[in-house]
Amino acid sequence: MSNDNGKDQNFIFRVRRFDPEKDPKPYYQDFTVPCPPGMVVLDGLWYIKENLDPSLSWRSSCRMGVCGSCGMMLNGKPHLACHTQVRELAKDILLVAPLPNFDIVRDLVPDLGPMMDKHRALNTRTIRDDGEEMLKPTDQYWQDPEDLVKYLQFAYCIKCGCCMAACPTLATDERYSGPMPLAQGYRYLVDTRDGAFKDRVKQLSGEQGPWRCHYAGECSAVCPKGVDPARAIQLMKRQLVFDYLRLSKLRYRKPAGLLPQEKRAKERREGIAEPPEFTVEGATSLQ
Amino acid sequence: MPEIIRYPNKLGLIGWLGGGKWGVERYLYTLHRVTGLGILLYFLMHIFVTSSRAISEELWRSTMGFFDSTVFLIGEYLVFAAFAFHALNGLRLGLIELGFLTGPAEEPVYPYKSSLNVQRPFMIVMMIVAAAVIIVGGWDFFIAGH
Amino acid sequence: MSIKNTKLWTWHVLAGLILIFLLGLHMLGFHMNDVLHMVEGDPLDWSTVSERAQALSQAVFYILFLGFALYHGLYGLRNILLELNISDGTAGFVNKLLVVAGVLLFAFGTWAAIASWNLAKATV
Ligand code: SF4
Ligand code: SF4
Ligand code: FES
Repeated sequence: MSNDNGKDQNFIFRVRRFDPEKDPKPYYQDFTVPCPPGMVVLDGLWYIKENLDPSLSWRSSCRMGVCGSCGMMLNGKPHLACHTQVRELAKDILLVAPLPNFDIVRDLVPDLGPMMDKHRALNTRTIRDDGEEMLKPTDQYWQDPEDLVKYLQFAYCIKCGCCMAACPTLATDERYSGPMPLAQGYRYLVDTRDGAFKDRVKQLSGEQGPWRCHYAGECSAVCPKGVDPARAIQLMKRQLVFDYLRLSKLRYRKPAGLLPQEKRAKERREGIAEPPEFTVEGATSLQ
Repeated sequence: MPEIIRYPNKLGLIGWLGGGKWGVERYLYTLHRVTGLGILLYFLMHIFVTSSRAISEELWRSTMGFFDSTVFLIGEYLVFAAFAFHALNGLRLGLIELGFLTGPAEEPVYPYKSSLNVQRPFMIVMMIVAAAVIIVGGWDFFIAGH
Repeated sequence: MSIKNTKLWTWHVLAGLILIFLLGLHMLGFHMNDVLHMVEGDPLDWSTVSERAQALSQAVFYILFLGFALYHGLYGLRNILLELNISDGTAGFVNKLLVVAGVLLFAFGTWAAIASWNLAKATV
């Protein structure tokens, strides 16, 4: 960056505050934060908490763009606080606000619950009828690398909710499933190991489906992991339409099985650990 | 236990205009809605106005005469322009939403390229064609016929 | 709601494609005629209007047009209305209202097409 002169530079962090026990509505509070080159927004928030105001609240955990806790609005756009450098984004004032389209719990903490409920409602897990094998696997389900690529991009999602904050439909419509849950729905729709294509198609044809998406593309523009949920949603529409017009064979797909006995490795290769035992006593199901 | 109070933070209708990265496609989405509504309104009027041809020649002539003014000419031109945009942008949307212009899923490599980048050249071509149609139409509306 | 959105949306897109073609021709004929000269004379003059109305194919085209355009337009309107976070009850009402409005408008437009065809035939 051009302003990267190796020295600390003071930035104003204009943080949106809200304490449900005291404040009738959110307000902005300014903090001066010295920022060395390369410092990320999350470090600035820690600086405020440790030196200026211990009551500042937000959510974060991994500090490396993996856990999906620290999504927030930085200068009006959704970002992860832990992987966005202050100097990359701001000249002297940095606006920090909680993700919109979610209720605010406190300060920068959004209530991601409704998003997770919509995610779960789309059955975002592999559904098969060989329960015994799922519970005590004897080998891996066999999947071609080409089949993996069909959903891998969408499996990188960390459920941070940045896409949900950017989506224009979610700005008004509470019922819309939203980009994250739908991208995950597509990820399982095309996973060759899944056996519930017909049920999924039926569910997605209802109001939970992708029909409230009109490709404004904002979700893909803001996704910090390159997941491209807008792509997943359009490909989902394609599957649904092609299935409706009977141009797709996917509804006749058999879920991928185990590698045939004769093709399996004869002996376990050296140095590969045994799978762990169940940690929950009396566990009967993987769910 | 105190009740948990949450502060509603939906962007509301403002969110239809912008809320994220303010990409070009976001504006096209908004314009698509606005032009769609405009065309629908005009179309409903159009059904009634043109049905006068079913009654008699006099009624048709007097209705057409009523609309023969500059204000209505400009109004019609706006509808024409809205249609040109809505049709060409709609063609792009149709192709995208049926998965022909999104590109297949791919391993994300930083700096991320998304389906937005895949469709963008087509978007630009469509917008240029729309602009050309609107300009030629303007010539027809205001110059060639008068 | 038991509405099959895949079906509704597929036809919305197909109707859109058809409209680009049909309405495109309509627009070219009516509004770029001074440039392209696709139709003889003024397309809005009574003589050309009644001449067109005599052809049965015109009436059929008009009715097809009307159907696709109404469906495409009212489905689009439904999208916008349903995204305003209205209650389930209101959404159901909107659905019914749009269906009724669509059917009535279609009936009216069809009547106009057929009546003007009759009128044009009678005046020849
Ligand atoms: S799709 Fe991207 S922006 Fe949306 S929750 Fe997943 S990682 Fe976050
Ligand atoms: S592409 Fe669809 S899901 Fe993504 S932001 Fe736009 S409307 Fe929302
Ligand atoms: S703290 Fe885990 S993603 Fe930012």
